[in-house]
Amino acid sequence: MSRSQLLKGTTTLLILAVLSEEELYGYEIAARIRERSGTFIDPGEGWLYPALHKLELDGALEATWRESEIGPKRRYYRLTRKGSRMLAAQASEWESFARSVHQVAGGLADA
Amino acid sequence: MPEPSAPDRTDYLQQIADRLPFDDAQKVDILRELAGHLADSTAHLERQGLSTAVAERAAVERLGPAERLANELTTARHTPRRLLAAAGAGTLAAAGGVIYGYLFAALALSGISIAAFVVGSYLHWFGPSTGDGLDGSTITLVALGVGAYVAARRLTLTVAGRAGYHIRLARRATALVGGGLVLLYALVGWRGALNWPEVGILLSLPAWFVVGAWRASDLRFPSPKWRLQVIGLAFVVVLAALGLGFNQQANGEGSGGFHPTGVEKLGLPTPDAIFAATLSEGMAATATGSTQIFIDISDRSLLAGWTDFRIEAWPGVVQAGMDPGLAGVIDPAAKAPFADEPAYLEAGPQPNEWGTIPPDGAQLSGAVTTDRSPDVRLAWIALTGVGPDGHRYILEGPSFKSTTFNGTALDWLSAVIAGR
Repeated sequence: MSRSQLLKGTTTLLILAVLSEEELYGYEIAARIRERSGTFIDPGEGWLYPALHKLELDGALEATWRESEIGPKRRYYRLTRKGSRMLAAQASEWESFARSVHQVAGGLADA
Repeated sequence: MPEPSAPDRTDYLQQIADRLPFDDAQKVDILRELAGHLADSTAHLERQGLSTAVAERAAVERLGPAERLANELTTARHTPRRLLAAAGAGTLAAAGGVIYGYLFAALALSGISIAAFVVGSYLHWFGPSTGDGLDGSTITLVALGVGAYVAARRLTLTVAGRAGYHIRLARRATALVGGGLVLLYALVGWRGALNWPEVGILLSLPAWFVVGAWRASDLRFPSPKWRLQVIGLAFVVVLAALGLGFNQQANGEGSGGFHPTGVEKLGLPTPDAIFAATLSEGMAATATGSTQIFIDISDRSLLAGWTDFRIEAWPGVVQAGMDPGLAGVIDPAAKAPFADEPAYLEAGPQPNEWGTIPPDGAQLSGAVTTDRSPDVRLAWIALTGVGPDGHRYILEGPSFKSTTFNGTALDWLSAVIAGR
C-alpha cells in the first residue's frame, strides 16, 4: 500500500492532532506534519486545503485571517470543541486499529 | 534538478480560479490562501538552494494539478448544510427577482399600453373591441413571465455560487425543480377570468423560467440590452393584444322582448295555462358564476305529470354592436346545452318577492354555472321541463348573459378535453 493511500485515511487525524497544540496556517500545518513524521509523510500538499475547508465547514475548525510573523496575512486555523471531540474519537479509533494491525502483521517486517 | 513543467504561480492560480464555481468573495479567500502557501513553499525551497523560478514551479507542483485541486476544493464544500443555505438564499433571490421583473415589466407594459391606445385611437388602428386598452390580467401574466425569467436567473446564480456547483449543473436542478413548481402554479395556482391568449401566456410561464435558468450567467439584470429587450417585447405584446382584441367588452345580461333565433332548440313555447298561472319569474347571477332562475305559479296541479325540470344554458352568438335582447342568435352549431342542472319544484305556501305563494302554488327553481366553458361568451339560459305529452317545453326564458371562463388553467384544459 502506498504512503498516499495510507495518508488518505488519516488526513483528518493528522490535521486535528497538530492543531490541538496551537493555531497554525496551512503551510505550517503541512510543514509540522512533515517534521513530526521525520519526512515520512510528505506526499505533496494538494490534499491539505480541501481537508481543511471541509473540517471548517463541518465545524471542527475555525479560521481567521491574521498577520503572520513572516509576511502577509495568513489564514490561521484552530480547533473548536467539536474538533477536539473529533480528535479524541479518531485518535482512539486509530490506536485500536494500529494495535490490531500490529497484532496481525507486527512481526512480518523482521521476518 | 530538472526544470519542472508546472505552470508559473500566476497561471496556476488563474487556472484554479477559472474552475471554482463559487462567488467572487469565496474565490478571493481561497486564492489568497493558496497564494500565501505558494509564497511560503517557494521561500522554503529557495532556502534549500533552488533558484526562484525553479522553487516557484516546484511549489506549484507540490500542490498538484490545478484541475484536481479545484475539484477537491469544490467537492469539500458540497455539504448538506451548504446546500440548505444555498436553497434558502436562492429562494430569497428568486423572490426578489420575481418582484423586480414583475414590476419592471408591468410598468413597461402599462405605459406602452396606454401610449399605444392613445396613438391607436387617434390613428384608428384598432377596431371597436379595444375598449380600455390592454386587459389587466394580460399585463399581469406577461409581467409574471418576465418575473419568472429574472427569478430563474437569480436563483440559478445564487444556488450555483453558494452551494459551489457549476452553473451548468445548477441550472439543470433549478430548471427542473423551479420549472415544475411554476408549472404547478400555472395549472392550479392562478384562478380567475381567462381567455385563450391568457391561458397560453399562463402555460408559457414554466418556459420563461426554464429559459431564465438556462441563460443564467454573471450578467446582471437589467443590463441596458435587457431593458431594451423587455421594452421591445412589451411593445409586441401590447400591439398584438390590442390588434387581436383581447379586451372584448361584455354584453351584460337581460331578456328582451324577442326570442333568439334558434330558440326552438330549447323546446316548445310555454303552454298558455302555465303562462297564465305564472305569478312571478326571475333570473339572478351569483358571485360564484352561476345563474339562478325561477318561476312561481299559482296552481301546481298544472305541472302534474311533468318531469325532468332543468335549467339549461345554450351558447349564443356574439354580434359586435348588437343587443342580444333585440337580435339574439343561439349558436347554430350547438346541438345541446353547454351546461345544465336540475330544477326543483317546491310546493307553497312560501314567501316570494311579491308576497306569498298560495298553498296550491309552487316555485320551480334551479341554478346553472356558465363560467366553465372556454369558448362561450354569451349564454342563453332557460328553465325547461318535459310535459305529459313527452315534449320539452320552455317554462321560463331564455334570457341572455355574458360570460367569461373563470377558473384555473387546469379547469380550462379539462373543459376543452371534455368538449364543454
